[in-house]
Amino acid sequence: MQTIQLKKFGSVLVSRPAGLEAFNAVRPQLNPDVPIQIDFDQVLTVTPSWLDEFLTQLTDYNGGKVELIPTKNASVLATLPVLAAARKDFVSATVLRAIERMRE
Amino acid sequence: MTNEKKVRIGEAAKLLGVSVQTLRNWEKSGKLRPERSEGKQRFYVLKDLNNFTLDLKMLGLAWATSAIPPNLPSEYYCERPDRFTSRVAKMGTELQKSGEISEDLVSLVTLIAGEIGDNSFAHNLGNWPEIPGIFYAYNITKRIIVLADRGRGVKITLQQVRPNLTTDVEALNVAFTEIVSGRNPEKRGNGLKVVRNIAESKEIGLLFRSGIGLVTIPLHPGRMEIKMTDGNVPGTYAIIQF
Repeated sequence: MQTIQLKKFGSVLVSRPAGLEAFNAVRPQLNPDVPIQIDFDQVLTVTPSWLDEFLTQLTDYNGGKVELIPTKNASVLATLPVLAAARKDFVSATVLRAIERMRE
Repeated sequence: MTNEKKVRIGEAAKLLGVSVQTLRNWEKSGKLRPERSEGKQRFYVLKDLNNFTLDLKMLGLAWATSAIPPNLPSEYYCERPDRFTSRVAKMGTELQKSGEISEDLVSLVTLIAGEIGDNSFAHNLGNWPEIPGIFYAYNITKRIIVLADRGRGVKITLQQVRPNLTTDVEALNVAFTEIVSGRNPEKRGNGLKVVRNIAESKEIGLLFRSGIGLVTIPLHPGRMEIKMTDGNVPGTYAIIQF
Protein backbone atom coordinates (compact mmCIF):
# COMPACT_ATOMS: atom_id res chain seq x y z
CA MET A 1 0.00 0.00 0.00
CA GLN A 2 1.24 3.48 -0.89
CA THR A 3 0.02 6.49 1.09
CA ILE A 4 -0.51 10.00 -0.28
CA GLN A 5 -0.59 12.63 2.43
CA LEU A 6 -2.66 15.46 1.06
CA LYS A 7 -1.15 17.93 3.53
CA LYS A 8 1.88 17.96 1.22
CA PHE A 9 -0.21 20.00 -1.21
CA GLY A 10 -1.36 22.55 1.37
CA SER A 11 -4.01 22.85 4.03
CA VAL A 12 -6.67 24.32 1.74
CA LEU A 13 -7.13 22.47 -1.54
CA VAL A 14 -9.21 24.42 -4.03
CA SER A 15 -9.95 24.05 -7.77
CA ARG A 16 -9.86 21.41 -10.44
CA PRO A 17 -6.61 22.60 -12.08
CA ALA A 18 -4.88 22.42 -8.68
CA GLY A 19 -6.19 18.87 -8.20
CA LEU A 20 -4.72 17.90 -11.57
CA GLU A 21 -1.44 19.60 -10.72
CA ALA A 22 -1.25 17.68 -7.45
CA PHE A 23 -1.79 14.39 -9.28
CA ASN A 24 0.89 15.24 -11.84
CA ALA A 25 3.29 16.09 -9.03
CA VAL A 26 2.78 12.81 -7.19
CA ARG A 27 2.48 10.48 -10.18
CA PRO A 28 6.23 9.86 -10.73
CA GLN A 29 6.45 8.42 -7.21
CA LEU A 30 3.52 6.04 -7.66
CA ASN A 31 3.56 2.41 -8.65
CA PRO A 32 0.36 1.74 -10.64
CA ASP A 33 0.26 -1.88 -9.49
CA VAL A 34 0.19 -1.07 -5.79
CA PRO A 35 -3.02 0.17 -4.10
CA ILE A 36 -3.02 3.77 -2.91
CA GLN A 37 -4.51 5.21 0.25
CA ILE A 38 -5.26 8.89 0.74
CA ASP A 39 -4.63 10.55 4.06
CA PHE A 40 -6.55 13.78 4.85
CA ASP A 41 -4.73 14.37 8.14
CA GLN A 42 -3.90 18.06 8.81
CA VAL A 43 -5.87 19.29 5.82
CA LEU A 44 -8.34 22.03 6.68
CA THR A 45 -10.49 22.03 3.55
CA VAL A 46 -10.81 20.09 0.33
CA THR A 47 -13.33 21.42 -2.20
CA PRO A 48 -15.47 19.07 -4.30
CA SER A 49 -13.74 20.25 -7.49
CA TRP A 50 -10.25 19.48 -6.19
CA LEU A 51 -11.19 16.10 -4.78
CA ASP A 52 -13.18 15.04 -7.85
CA GLU A 53 -10.29 15.88 -10.17
CA PHE A 54 -7.63 14.30 -7.97
CA LEU A 55 -9.60 11.08 -7.47
CA THR A 56 -10.54 10.87 -11.13
CA GLN A 57 -6.90 11.10 -12.20
CA LEU A 58 -5.72 8.69 -9.54
CA THR A 59 -8.36 6.01 -10.14
CA ASP A 60 -7.86 6.25 -13.91
CA TYR A 61 -4.14 5.80 -13.36
CA ASN A 62 -4.29 2.59 -11.36
CA GLY A 63 -7.65 1.09 -12.27
CA GLY A 64 -9.52 2.12 -9.14
CA LYS A 65 -7.19 0.73 -6.49
CA VAL A 66 -7.65 3.81 -4.31
CA GLU A 67 -8.89 3.96 -0.73
CA LEU A 68 -9.61 6.93 1.51
CA ILE A 69 -8.36 6.71 5.08
CA PRO A 70 -11.33 7.37 7.40
CA THR A 71 -11.41 11.02 8.40
CA LYS A 72 -13.44 13.47 10.46
CA ASN A 73 -12.62 16.35 8.11
CA ALA A 74 -15.94 18.19 7.67
CA SER A 75 -15.28 19.27 4.08
CA VAL A 76 -14.49 15.70 3.04
CA LEU A 77 -17.53 14.29 4.82
CA ALA A 78 -19.75 16.88 3.10
CA THR A 79 -18.29 16.18 -0.33
CA LEU A 80 -18.25 12.37 -0.42
CA PRO A 81 -22.01 11.66 -0.64
CA VAL A 82 -22.40 14.03 -3.61
CA LEU A 83 -19.36 12.59 -5.37
CA ALA A 84 -20.71 9.08 -4.86
CA ALA A 85 -24.06 10.08 -6.33
CA ALA A 86 -22.54 12.04 -9.19
CA ARG A 87 -20.16 9.44 -10.48
CA LYS A 88 -20.75 5.95 -11.82
CA ASP A 89 -17.16 4.82 -12.12
CA PHE A 90 -14.03 4.03 -10.10
CA VAL A 91 -14.39 7.29 -8.17
CA SER A 92 -17.85 6.37 -7.03
CA ALA A 93 -16.68 2.90 -5.97
CA THR A 94 -13.75 4.34 -3.99
CA VAL A 95 -15.98 6.90 -2.28
CA LEU A 96 -18.71 4.39 -1.43
CA ARG A 97 -16.17 2.03 0.15
CA ALA A 98 -14.85 4.94 2.26
CA ILE A 99 -18.34 5.98 3.38
CA GLU A 100 -19.10 2.39 4.31
CA ARG A 101 -15.92 2.05 6.37
CA MET A 102 -16.56 5.30 8.19
CA ARG A 103 -20.03 4.08 9.19
CA GLU A 104 -18.56 1.00 10.88
CA MET B 1 -16.35 40.80 21.45
CA THR B 2 -16.51 44.30 22.99
CA ASN B 3 -16.72 46.98 20.40
CA GLU B 4 -14.59 49.42 22.39
CA LYS B 5 -11.69 46.98 22.39
CA LYS B 6 -8.54 48.40 20.85
CA VAL B 7 -6.30 46.45 18.52
CA ARG B 8 -2.93 47.09 16.95
CA ILE B 9 -2.38 47.51 13.24
CA GLY B 10 -1.42 43.87 12.61
CA GLU B 11 -4.57 42.57 14.28
CA ALA B 12 -6.71 45.21 12.53
CA ALA B 13 -5.27 44.13 9.17
CA LYS B 14 -6.16 40.52 9.91
CA LEU B 15 -9.70 41.36 10.94
CA LEU B 16 -10.28 43.36 7.77
CA GLY B 17 -8.55 40.82 5.54
CA VAL B 18 -6.08 43.39 4.17
CA SER B 19 -2.35 43.91 4.58
CA VAL B 20 -0.68 46.19 7.10
CA GLN B 21 0.63 48.24 4.18
CA THR B 22 -2.93 48.77 2.93
CA LEU B 23 -3.93 50.08 6.35
CA ARG B 24 -1.00 52.49 6.24
CA ASN B 25 -2.08 53.63 2.78
CA TRP B 26 -5.63 54.07 4.01
CA GLU B 27 -4.32 56.13 6.89
CA LYS B 28 -2.36 58.40 4.51
CA SER B 29 -5.34 58.86 2.22
CA GLY B 30 -7.66 59.44 5.16
CA LYS B 31 -9.83 56.45 4.27
CA LEU B 32 -9.38 54.83 7.68
CA ARG B 33 -7.47 56.69 10.38
CA PRO B 34 -6.21 54.93 13.49
CA GLU B 35 -6.02 56.59 16.85
CA ARG B 36 -2.76 57.13 18.70
CA SER B 37 -1.90 56.17 22.24
CA GLU B 38 0.04 58.54 24.46
CA GLY B 39 3.17 56.72 23.39
CA LYS B 40 2.17 57.58 19.78
CA GLN B 41 1.44 53.97 18.93
CA ARG B 42 -1.31 53.36 16.38
CA PHE B 43 -4.41 51.51 17.49
CA TYR B 44 -7.80 50.85 16.01
CA VAL B 45 -11.07 50.66 17.89
CA LEU B 46 -13.05 47.55 16.95
CA LYS B 47 -16.25 49.57 16.63
CA ASP B 48 -14.62 51.74 13.96
CA LEU B 49 -13.44 48.68 12.08
CA ASN B 50 -16.95 47.25 12.11
CA ASN B 51 -18.40 50.47 10.78
CA PHE B 52 -15.73 50.69 8.16
CA THR B 53 -16.59 47.29 6.76
CA LEU B 54 -20.31 47.78 6.64
CA ASP B 55 -20.03 48.39 2.94
CA LEU B 56 -18.39 45.12 1.83
CA LYS B 57 -21.73 43.90 0.50
CA MET B 58 -22.30 47.17 -1.35
CA LEU B 59 -18.79 47.20 -2.78
CA GLY B 60 -19.20 43.63 -4.04
CA LEU B 61 -22.57 44.44 -5.55
CA ALA B 62 -21.11 47.51 -7.23
CA TRP B 63 -18.37 45.34 -8.68
CA ALA B 64 -20.94 42.88 -10.00
CA THR B 65 -23.42 45.37 -11.41
CA SER B 66 -21.90 48.78 -12.22
CA ALA B 67 -21.34 49.67 -15.85
CA ILE B 68 -18.02 51.16 -14.79
CA PRO B 69 -16.52 48.97 -12.07
CA PRO B 70 -15.37 50.70 -8.87
CA ASN B 71 -11.69 50.87 -7.99
CA LEU B 72 -10.98 48.04 -5.58
CA PRO B 73 -8.22 47.74 -2.99
CA SER B 74 -5.89 45.07 -4.38
CA GLU B 75 -6.74 42.80 -1.45
CA TYR B 76 -10.32 42.54 -2.66
CA TYR B 77 -9.53 41.77 -6.27
CA CYS B 78 -8.24 38.45 -7.56
CA GLU B 79 -7.49 38.71 -11.24
CA ARG B 80 -6.29 35.14 -11.56
CA PRO B 81 -7.28 31.84 -9.92
CA ASP B 82 -3.92 31.30 -8.22
CA ARG B 83 -4.29 34.56 -6.33
CA PHE B 84 -7.79 33.55 -5.27
CA THR B 85 -6.63 30.13 -4.14
CA SER B 86 -3.87 31.54 -1.97
CA ARG B 87 -6.21 34.11 -0.43
CA VAL B 88 -8.80 31.44 0.41
CA ALA B 89 -6.08 29.42 2.12
CA LYS B 90 -5.06 32.52 4.06
CA MET B 91 -8.66 33.12 5.10
CA GLY B 92 -8.96 29.52 6.33
CA THR B 93 -5.87 29.92 8.46
CA GLU B 94 -7.07 33.24 9.87
CA LEU B 95 -10.47 31.76 10.70
CA GLN B 96 -8.76 28.90 12.49
CA LYS B 97 -6.53 31.25 14.44
CA SER B 98 -9.40 33.53 15.42
CA GLY B 99 -10.62 30.71 17.66
CA GLU B 100 -14.16 32.04 17.35
CA ILE B 101 -15.66 29.24 15.30
CA SER B 102 -15.30 25.49 15.37
CA GLU B 103 -12.77 23.69 13.17
CA ASP B 104 -15.63 21.98 11.31
CA LEU B 105 -17.31 25.28 10.51
CA VAL B 106 -14.01 26.77 9.34
CA SER B 107 -13.52 23.80 7.05
CA LEU B 108 -17.03 24.14 5.57
CA VAL B 109 -17.07 27.93 5.21
CA THR B 110 -13.72 27.73 3.43
CA LEU B 111 -15.09 25.03 1.13
CA ILE B 112 -18.07 27.20 0.19
CA ALA B 113 -15.99 30.30 -0.51
CA GLY B 114 -13.42 28.23 -2.42
CA GLU B 115 -16.00 26.49 -4.56
CA ILE B 116 -18.03 29.60 -5.44
CA GLY B 117 -14.96 31.69 -6.25
CA ASP B 118 -13.35 28.92 -8.26
CA ASN B 119 -16.56 28.45 -10.26
CA SER B 120 -16.28 32.06 -11.40
CA PHE B 121 -12.90 31.31 -12.91
CA ALA B 122 -13.73 27.85 -14.27
CA HIS B 123 -16.91 29.00 -16.01
CA ASN B 124 -15.51 32.16 -17.53
CA LEU B 125 -12.10 30.97 -18.62
CA GLY B 126 -11.39 32.58 -21.99
CA ASN B 127 -14.88 34.10 -22.01
CA TRP B 128 -14.74 37.06 -19.64
CA PRO B 129 -16.94 39.73 -21.26
CA GLU B 130 -14.58 42.53 -20.22
CA ILE B 131 -12.74 42.46 -16.87
CA PRO B 132 -11.49 39.06 -15.71
CA GLY B 133 -11.28 38.01 -12.11
CA ILE B 134 -13.37 38.29 -8.99
CA PHE B 135 -14.15 40.50 -6.05
CA TYR B 136 -13.38 38.54 -2.89
CA ALA B 137 -13.55 40.12 0.55
CA TYR B 138 -14.25 38.90 4.04
CA ASN B 139 -14.60 40.19 7.56
CA ILE B 140 -13.96 37.66 10.28
CA THR B 141 -15.42 39.87 13.03
CA LYS B 142 -18.65 40.30 11.13
CA ARG B 143 -18.58 36.68 9.91
CA ILE B 144 -19.19 37.57 6.32
CA ILE B 145 -17.63 36.70 2.97
CA VAL B 146 -18.54 38.46 -0.27
CA LEU B 147 -17.70 37.21 -3.76
CA ALA B 148 -18.66 38.75 -7.10
CA ASP B 149 -17.68 38.47 -10.74
CA ARG B 150 -18.38 40.33 -13.96
CA GLY B 151 -18.60 37.12 -15.95
CA ARG B 152 -21.30 35.59 -18.13
CA GLY B 153 -23.57 34.40 -15.36
CA VAL B 154 -25.03 30.99 -14.57
CA LYS B 155 -27.71 30.86 -17.29
CA ILE B 156 -25.39 31.50 -20.23
CA THR B 157 -22.81 29.08 -18.84
CA LEU B 158 -25.35 26.32 -18.37
CA GLN B 159 -27.05 26.92 -21.73
CA GLN B 160 -23.97 25.35 -23.30
CA VAL B 161 -25.09 21.99 -21.93
CA ARG B 162 -28.79 22.75 -21.42
CA PRO B 163 -29.79 24.83 -24.48
CA ASN B 164 -33.44 24.76 -23.42
CA LEU B 165 -32.86 26.72 -20.24
CA THR B 166 -34.77 29.99 -20.57
CA THR B 167 -34.79 31.73 -17.18
CA ASP B 168 -32.25 32.59 -14.52
CA VAL B 169 -34.38 30.90 -11.87
CA GLU B 170 -34.40 27.69 -13.88
CA ALA B 171 -30.64 27.93 -14.37
CA LEU B 172 -29.97 28.44 -10.65
CA ASN B 173 -32.22 25.53 -9.86
CA VAL B 174 -30.18 23.29 -12.15
CA ALA B 175 -26.89 24.62 -10.76
CA PHE B 176 -27.81 24.02 -7.13
CA THR B 177 -29.83 20.83 -7.44
CA GLU B 178 -28.83 18.84 -10.52
CA ILE B 179 -25.52 17.25 -11.28
CA VAL B 180 -24.46 18.91 -14.47
CA SER B 181 -21.44 20.64 -15.86
CA GLY B 182 -21.06 23.70 -18.01
CA ARG B 183 -18.00 22.01 -19.46
CA ASN B 184 -19.68 18.99 -21.03
CA PRO B 185 -18.94 16.24 -21.97
CA GLU B 186 -17.01 15.95 -18.71
CA LYS B 187 -19.34 14.48 -16.11
CA ARG B 188 -18.56 17.14 -13.56
CA GLY B 189 -20.07 20.05 -11.76
CA ASN B 190 -21.32 19.00 -8.37
CA GLY B 191 -19.71 21.71 -6.24
CA LEU B 192 -22.79 23.88 -5.81
CA LYS B 193 -24.80 20.84 -4.71
CA VAL B 194 -22.30 20.30 -1.92
CA VAL B 195 -22.49 24.01 -1.08
CA ARG B 196 -26.26 23.79 -0.83
CA ASN B 197 -26.21 20.66 1.36
CA ILE B 198 -23.77 22.28 3.76
CA ALA B 199 -25.54 25.64 4.00
CA GLU B 200 -28.94 23.96 4.49
CA SER B 201 -27.71 21.80 7.34
CA LYS B 202 -25.22 24.04 9.18
CA GLU B 203 -25.12 27.53 10.67
CA ILE B 204 -24.15 29.05 7.35
CA GLY B 205 -26.28 31.47 5.34
CA LEU B 206 -25.99 32.00 1.61
CA LEU B 207 -27.28 34.61 -0.79
CA PHE B 208 -26.40 33.97 -4.43
CA ARG B 209 -27.52 36.09 -7.37
CA SER B 210 -27.11 35.67 -11.12
CA GLY B 211 -29.19 37.46 -13.75
CA ILE B 212 -32.49 38.19 -12.05
CA GLY B 213 -32.38 34.94 -10.10
CA LEU B 214 -31.84 34.84 -6.34
CA VAL B 215 -30.90 31.86 -4.17
CA THR B 216 -31.23 32.19 -0.41
CA ILE B 217 -30.38 29.73 2.35
CA PRO B 218 -31.02 30.94 5.91
CA LEU B 219 -28.21 31.29 8.46
CA HIS B 220 -29.85 28.77 10.76
CA PRO B 221 -30.40 25.36 9.17
CA GLY B 222 -33.26 25.57 6.69
CA ARG B 223 -34.26 25.02 3.09
CA MET B 224 -32.99 26.80 0.03
CA GLU B 225 -35.35 29.12 -1.87
CA ILE B 226 -34.93 30.27 -5.43
CA LYS B 227 -36.91 33.18 -6.86
CA MET B 228 -36.80 36.20 -9.13
CA THR B 229 -35.51 39.45 -7.76
CA ASP B 230 -35.21 43.09 -8.78
CA GLY B 231 -32.07 44.17 -10.53
CA ASN B 232 -29.83 42.26 -12.88
CA VAL B 233 -26.46 40.77 -11.96
CA PRO B 234 -24.81 39.89 -15.28
CA GLY B 235 -22.23 37.61 -13.61
CA THR B 236 -22.62 36.28 -10.09
CA TYR B 237 -22.75 37.78 -6.60
CA ALA B 238 -22.60 35.81 -3.37
CA ILE B 239 -22.74 36.57 0.35
CA ILE B 240 -21.77 33.88 2.84
CA GLN B 241 -22.59 34.43 6.52
CA PHE B 242 -21.64 32.24 9.42
